Amino acid sequence: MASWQPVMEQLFLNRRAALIGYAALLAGNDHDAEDLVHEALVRTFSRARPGLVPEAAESYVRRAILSAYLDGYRKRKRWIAVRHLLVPRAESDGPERVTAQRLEIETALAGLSPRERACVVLRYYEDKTTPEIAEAIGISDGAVKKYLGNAVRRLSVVLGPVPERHIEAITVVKGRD
Amino acid sequence: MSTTLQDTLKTLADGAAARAGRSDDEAHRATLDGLLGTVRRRRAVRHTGTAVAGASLVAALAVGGSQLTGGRGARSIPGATGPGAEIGPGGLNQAQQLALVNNLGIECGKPFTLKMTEVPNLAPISTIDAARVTRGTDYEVAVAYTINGPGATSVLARFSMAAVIVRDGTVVGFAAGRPLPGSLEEDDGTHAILRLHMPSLMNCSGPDAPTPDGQYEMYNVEGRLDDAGATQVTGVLGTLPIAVPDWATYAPQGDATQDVAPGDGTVASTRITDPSGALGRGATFGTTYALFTPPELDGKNLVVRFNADGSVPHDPDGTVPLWTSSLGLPSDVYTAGGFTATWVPSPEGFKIMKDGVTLVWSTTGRTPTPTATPTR
Repeated sequence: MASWQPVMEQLFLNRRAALIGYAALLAGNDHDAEDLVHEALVRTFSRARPGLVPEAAESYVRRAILSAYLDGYRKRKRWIAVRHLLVPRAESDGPERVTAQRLEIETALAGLSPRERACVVLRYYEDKTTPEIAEAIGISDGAVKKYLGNAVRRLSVVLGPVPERHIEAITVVKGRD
Repeated sequence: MSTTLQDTLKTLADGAAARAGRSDDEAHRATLDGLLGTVRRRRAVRHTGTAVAGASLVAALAVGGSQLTGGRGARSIPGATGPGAEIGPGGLNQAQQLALVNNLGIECGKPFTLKMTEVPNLAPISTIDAARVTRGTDYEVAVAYTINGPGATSVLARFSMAAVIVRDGTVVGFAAGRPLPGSLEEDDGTHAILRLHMPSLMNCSGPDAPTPDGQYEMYNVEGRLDDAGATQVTGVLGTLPIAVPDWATYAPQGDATQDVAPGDGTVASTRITDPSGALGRGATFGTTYALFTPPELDGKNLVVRFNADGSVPHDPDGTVPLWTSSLGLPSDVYTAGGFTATWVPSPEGFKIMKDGVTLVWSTTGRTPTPTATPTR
């Protein structure tokens, strides 16, 4: 058996759910999240990466999820712009989806551009710094600050006053550090 | 806001993860198997460089010296022939063998998942015994057969073999061969060894795609006649580690026209003197043709035909006609210009040139008759 195969199997079987959870924050629904994870796994393991261990592989896959998400949205930009007019949300409503606030946040996230959304997820879920986000997405620090600032401003409309930890991000934008 | 954005994102992710975890293990396994297959195919393509483009890309790879392992138990593939797969006295030719392979649904880049069944009375391959390099593009395979029916040895003598080259479960190439005359060695009445000449190993991705040395598997797919003369096809499983060196190992640079060894009159020998790679990086030689895959022909082959006695058809001015072909399709006369071929009188052979530069020189080793052979 090729050396990459057990690593991919282990990652898929043990970390699939977590990866889909991460991808769902970007994609906005479970189906697209699963597609993103599959695409990212294929992208990651189709390249020769000698000595790859599952822990490192997960980092590669998470990065590939982000790339696949941004790539996909670039390709489907026009469709996405009108999708909400034509297609009802497909995902099932689990008990964790019932709170109005959560739905509001989902709606607010759905209103963000892909890059804004990616920045928010990386900042507030992955807990990455501005330079790390910039490196992951392949844009400048300044652009990250701009996207984060715009996103938080737009989320504030839905979420109400932004909690202090969120203001910090906006302060960073204003401070041009 | 009773919760922070951070907390809510975590809750959303956890929810998606929880829903993703509800599928049963069997569904997960099936998904994983599909993904593994996709990765294997992509890795196979990456291994060989260019995109897999199906059967239209045919080219040779040099097969390095190999030690063979014992094959698996003999098994067979049912019902693979079609009406067009005529078996001649010498067995299937290469094109027929490849047609056979394609009839079995074996294609470049696809996972190799044959379902084998037993076929009684015919002697299948039980062991692949040995292989050795005979020339840059030729090799021989010695195959041990179990004789399990009357007349089996006479059937064996007419065998030809098509082989599927597999890596990581994905088809990456094909090969086909015929028995060497008089090569059938009967052991104790229950076993026999047949040596097959396999003139080429065809890389799915073309000659410009370097295929690394490594552990490949070779699965045999056979066409044969049974004792009653009816067409019968079996597929037999065996494994073969193949070292496939970079073609450059066998492609000396510079003008090698003086030191090339002559062929045996039936199969040409060649020296590629093409540092530019304009002819591709390999060649396939059959008993009546030489085949190259120049990159600029976009996967089609550039073919020189010669006669089985080693003579090279050419016009009175020495021009050797060039042809283009794709696997399984009729050949066309090459008309695009660029490449030209000229006859070399002694020892008989041909040169292929581009823009006045000799790219390859080949000889069949035959001493020619004085009269030129009309070609078209």
